[in-house]
Amino acid sequence: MEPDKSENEATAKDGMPSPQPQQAKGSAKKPKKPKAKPEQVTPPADKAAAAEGGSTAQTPKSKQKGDKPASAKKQKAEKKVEGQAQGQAEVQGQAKIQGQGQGEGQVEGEAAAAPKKSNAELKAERRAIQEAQRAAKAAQKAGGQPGQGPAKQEAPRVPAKVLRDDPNMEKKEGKKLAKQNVPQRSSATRRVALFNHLKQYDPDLKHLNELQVWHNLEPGATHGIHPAISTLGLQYADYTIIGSNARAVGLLAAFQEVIWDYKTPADKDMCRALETHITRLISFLDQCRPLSISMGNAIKFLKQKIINLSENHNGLSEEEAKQDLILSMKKFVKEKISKAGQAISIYTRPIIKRSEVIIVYGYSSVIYNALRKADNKESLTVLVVDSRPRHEGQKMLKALTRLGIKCIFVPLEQAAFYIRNIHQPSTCKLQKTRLFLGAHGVLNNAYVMSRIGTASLASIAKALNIPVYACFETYKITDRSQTDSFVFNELGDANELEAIGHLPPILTNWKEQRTLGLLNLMYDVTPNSHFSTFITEIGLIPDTSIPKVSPLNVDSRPTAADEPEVGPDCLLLRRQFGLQRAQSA
Amino acid sequence: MPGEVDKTDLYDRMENFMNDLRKDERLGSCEVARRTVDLLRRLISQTKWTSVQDLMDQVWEAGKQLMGADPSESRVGNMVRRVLKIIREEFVSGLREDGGIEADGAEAPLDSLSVDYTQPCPNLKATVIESIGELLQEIDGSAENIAQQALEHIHADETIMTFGGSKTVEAFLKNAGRKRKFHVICTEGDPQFGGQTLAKNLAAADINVTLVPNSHVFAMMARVNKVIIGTHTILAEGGLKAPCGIFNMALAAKEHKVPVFVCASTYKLSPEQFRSEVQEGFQKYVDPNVFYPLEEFAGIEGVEFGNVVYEHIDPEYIHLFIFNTGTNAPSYVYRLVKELYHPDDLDLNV
Amino acid sequence: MAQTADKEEVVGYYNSIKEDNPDMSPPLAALKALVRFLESNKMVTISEFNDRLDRCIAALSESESKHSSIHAGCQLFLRFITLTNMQFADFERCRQNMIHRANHWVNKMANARQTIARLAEPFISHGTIVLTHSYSRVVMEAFKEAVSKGKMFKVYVTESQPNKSGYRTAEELKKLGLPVTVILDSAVGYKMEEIALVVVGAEHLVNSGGILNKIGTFNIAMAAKMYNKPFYVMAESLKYLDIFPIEQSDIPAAIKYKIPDYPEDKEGDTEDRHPLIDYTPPKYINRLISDIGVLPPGAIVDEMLSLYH
Repeated sequence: MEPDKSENEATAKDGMPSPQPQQAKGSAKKPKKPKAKPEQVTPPADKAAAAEGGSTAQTPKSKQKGDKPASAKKQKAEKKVEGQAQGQAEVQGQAKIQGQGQGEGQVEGEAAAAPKKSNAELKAERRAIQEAQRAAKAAQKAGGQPGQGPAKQEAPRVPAKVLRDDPNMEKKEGKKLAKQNVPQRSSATRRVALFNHLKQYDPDLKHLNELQVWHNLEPGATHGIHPAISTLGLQYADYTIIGSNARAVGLLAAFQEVIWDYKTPADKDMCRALETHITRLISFLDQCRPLSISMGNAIKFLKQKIINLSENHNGLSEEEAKQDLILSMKKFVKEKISKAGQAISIYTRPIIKRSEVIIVYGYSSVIYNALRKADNKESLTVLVVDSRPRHEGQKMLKALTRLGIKCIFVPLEQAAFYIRNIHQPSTCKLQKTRLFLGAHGVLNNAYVMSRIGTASLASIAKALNIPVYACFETYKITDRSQTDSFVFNELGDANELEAIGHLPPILTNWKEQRTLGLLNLMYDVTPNSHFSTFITEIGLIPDTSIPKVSPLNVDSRPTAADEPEVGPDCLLLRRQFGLQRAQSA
Repeated sequence: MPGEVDKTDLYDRMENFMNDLRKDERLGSCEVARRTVDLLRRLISQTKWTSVQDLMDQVWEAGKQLMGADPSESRVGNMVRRVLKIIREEFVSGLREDGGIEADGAEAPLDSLSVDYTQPCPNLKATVIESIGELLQEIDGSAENIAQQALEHIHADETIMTFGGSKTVEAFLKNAGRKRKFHVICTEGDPQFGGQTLAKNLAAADINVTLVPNSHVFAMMARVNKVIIGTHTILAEGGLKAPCGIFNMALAAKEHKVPVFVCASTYKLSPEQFRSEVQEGFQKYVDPNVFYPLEEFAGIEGVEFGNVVYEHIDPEYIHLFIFNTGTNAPSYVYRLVKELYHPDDLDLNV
Repeated sequence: MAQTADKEEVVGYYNSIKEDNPDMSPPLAALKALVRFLESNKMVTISEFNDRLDRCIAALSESESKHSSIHAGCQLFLRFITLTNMQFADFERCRQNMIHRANHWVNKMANARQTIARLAEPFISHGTIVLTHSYSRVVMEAFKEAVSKGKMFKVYVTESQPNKSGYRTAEELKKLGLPVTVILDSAVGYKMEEIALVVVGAEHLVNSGGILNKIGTFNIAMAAKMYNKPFYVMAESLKYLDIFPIEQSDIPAAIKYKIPDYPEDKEGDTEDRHPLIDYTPPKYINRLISDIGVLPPGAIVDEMLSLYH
């Protein structure tokens, strides 16, 4: 503090002797004599700061310079130095700037009246003043904008995840994560300019070294991460758990454990505390790997359940409430994911039966299940298309060969050739070929976001007049829209491109080449026009119906009793799920 | 005897060339064309022939042998046919000078004349060797000629997408890069990952490059202004025989209305008609191990692995050909083919 | 008069050639008649030559007015044989030269169908499904050639109203042992998804690179384009006609209401008559297989224009 003070004094000396003319706001400030407070500095504007901040040494000198934001900052710095609670610093700075007129008047009076107070009393005063200023601000806002209409429609806020090119965003995120005690993952050192608006993570996971795993079930612990979540995060980060469904199921399973172990701190409301707790765990998972659309919807579901709980929580004990949540999550997985998958297989069965050749891309659990449930496996030929660098098609190939299905395995580059030239038996009949695609997520405008390369394959199929089916559960539908693969995507590890199979790597020192960038996107977006139909658990729907089939519109009531197994009758299915088409908004 | 020594030397050279063709290495087009023409020139200068028909038959035979080494290597066949056309032309123009045949209207197509190739024609050897020398010069200079046209087609701040590796495209872009600043998106391309080499070389020449895997083509096309590719062969109707994966790119370009430019030398033009991708002499089948480590699939039976190298693109996907002789639309290709080749030389198996 | 004598002579030749070769296409027969005329008659000057040949061509066209291609073919003939050095002092030598060229060319044209069949056969693969329209001798030759190479394939042929010429095609193909089905003209869109290849003949090849053919061809071309199916036209270069239609209404009325072997509906206003020929623009045609080669549709025009200009 001392150096600060001296600096301020110096500046005061350098600057104008009297503070008045320097006041940018021009609020009426009566010059006051410096009070004999131990750490206080003389000018009267101090008092305003003093009373508000409750601290004794102020930095009105910086204020003299007429630099309000700087003063707020310096003030903050000073307060920190003094070691007092600084949480209010910014607020005070703002309040000071805005509520100056009112505040000062009050403050001056107070300051004049009582030179010394206890900390508690000061705290109380501070709070009172803040409340008053907030009220004043609200009144000003409301009163000052009568001509702007009853309610100013605010545009939906752009999510932070697509604003990474804003230089403040990283700092803001850092602060937020720090508050949540979640380690922040560093950005990749070599970023591709086209994607500056998206997160590009450093593949190195060293941020997890600072992780503290939550061992003791200390209520309200704000440090450490539940072991289920930390394991899950690591499994996401090194691509052990991949796939839209797998990630969502993993997420819900881990959260079931988290909720099971959760104990609400004494003076807190369970729902709010739990929500905060879950939010920070989600931040952690987001740092491991950006959340998928399916995970996002699952989290929305969970949070909705928690909010609902707060309304009838009074009737249930904490244990019962937790049980209820866990049961809801189990039910979500059962209905929205596994039974939905079965339903999709039922719809695809007759289509596959009428086909001779099925084309699939990469690995999709939904498509795998659909093929598993097919009747005509012996007469089918499946063309498994694979791509670099993840080679997920290999997993599909192994799974399908285990089912005894005849497969042809080709890289994406050769897909067009094989589709055109699949050996035709000379019976003068056309071989019916169809393309089945899974989805990572489905956008509101019926564009499908799926593993990168899907759009290429769908284009080929369309050019060769092959029907294309998108198969996905309705919980993968999101309310976002996009028409290209740039505005939102996930950037994978660019270093994966270095390895080129048997051949010696060519790009060993690519990072040294300033003008060279490597890009490894995870997803691309396929236009709705490429699809013949969309197969979901509620049937075959056209693209225009996608926005109306929102997962959160459908009511899934948690019941204790298990539901009977799914029968082959589709109507029975719909009734069992209690699904109806959502009403148009 | 000197003649025989020469003969064996020629034979050795042919053997070497055929071995190189048989190996799975991807020889550069320029090299293949050059070596073929060179061999044929030696053949013409060193062997004895009684008449022009006899000479053409010998060239024919040698050509068939060379093509037999790798039937999918159409560049060899192209050059053989070019040489044959040169021989025919020189013969006919020699005859014209001598007044041996009617001096017909210049428009009369060569094929409408029934020329008797058994007539004697002095000085033919010299003129043919000279013309072949010009052909060699053309082959050597073609990459340069194409590259010189770069600035006509690339403006500043463009984003250009390429496919795999191509020496022609590399020279083309480097030439433009000397004067203009633009961005290149290279896709990895063929199984030799020529795209990675191209990206490396372009970046070293101070051009902004982003390398992406082939699966990114559709996604990235939304930001691309032009697609510039090379090719293995240009077929008679204006279509391409190119490494697998190019069709994906051409399709994405069509959907996004991005023009596709093909940089190729005229020695890549082939008079062969395209009928199907599995027709004789089109496709090359390689060991699937080239594409992925098959040890991953040890124990899995009954799976067919993709092992093709070339695919076909229709001329409707291509906007412009940038030849060493200038730029042309795909509909003009058949004309060029007519100029460069004689229809009787089409089927070397006859 | 010498003029009528010429006409009678050339028409006489034409008729006897047709009798000996009933399957020969009329334009070809007309050309052969002209060659014979040229061989049998001495001429002294170029203008005499021009006049007499023009008369012959007019006579031939009139006698076989249903075959509009005769006039076109004969014009081509004239262009081709005169595309040579006419600077000889002795016209007799010119005439010999022209006869030489004419024979060479007419022989080529006579073999045109075989040439086309040979070029087209590789496009018809074993086990494929083909659609064709109406009856075309050229297409029949191509099918025969494919069958002779041991190929087996399924053929759909349109009924081809109003003269049901599709049934004739079906009959002949059945004799070749091919599985054939006749479909309604209106069922083309329905069937198109099953079909791998469409082949049709042409009455005329026009300057735009498109074709004039039996009504219904354009419908098939549109359906094929929608489904990205290859659409191949097989026609001899002799069928070239020097007009440039842009729309259907540009088809000359003289051609539109006439097809071979079908009575011309002379009664009633043109408005009420059903057109028997439609125009298919080049963008619907993938390849034109003719005796000149397998070419993109515009290419044949280039060839022909180079003869004309």
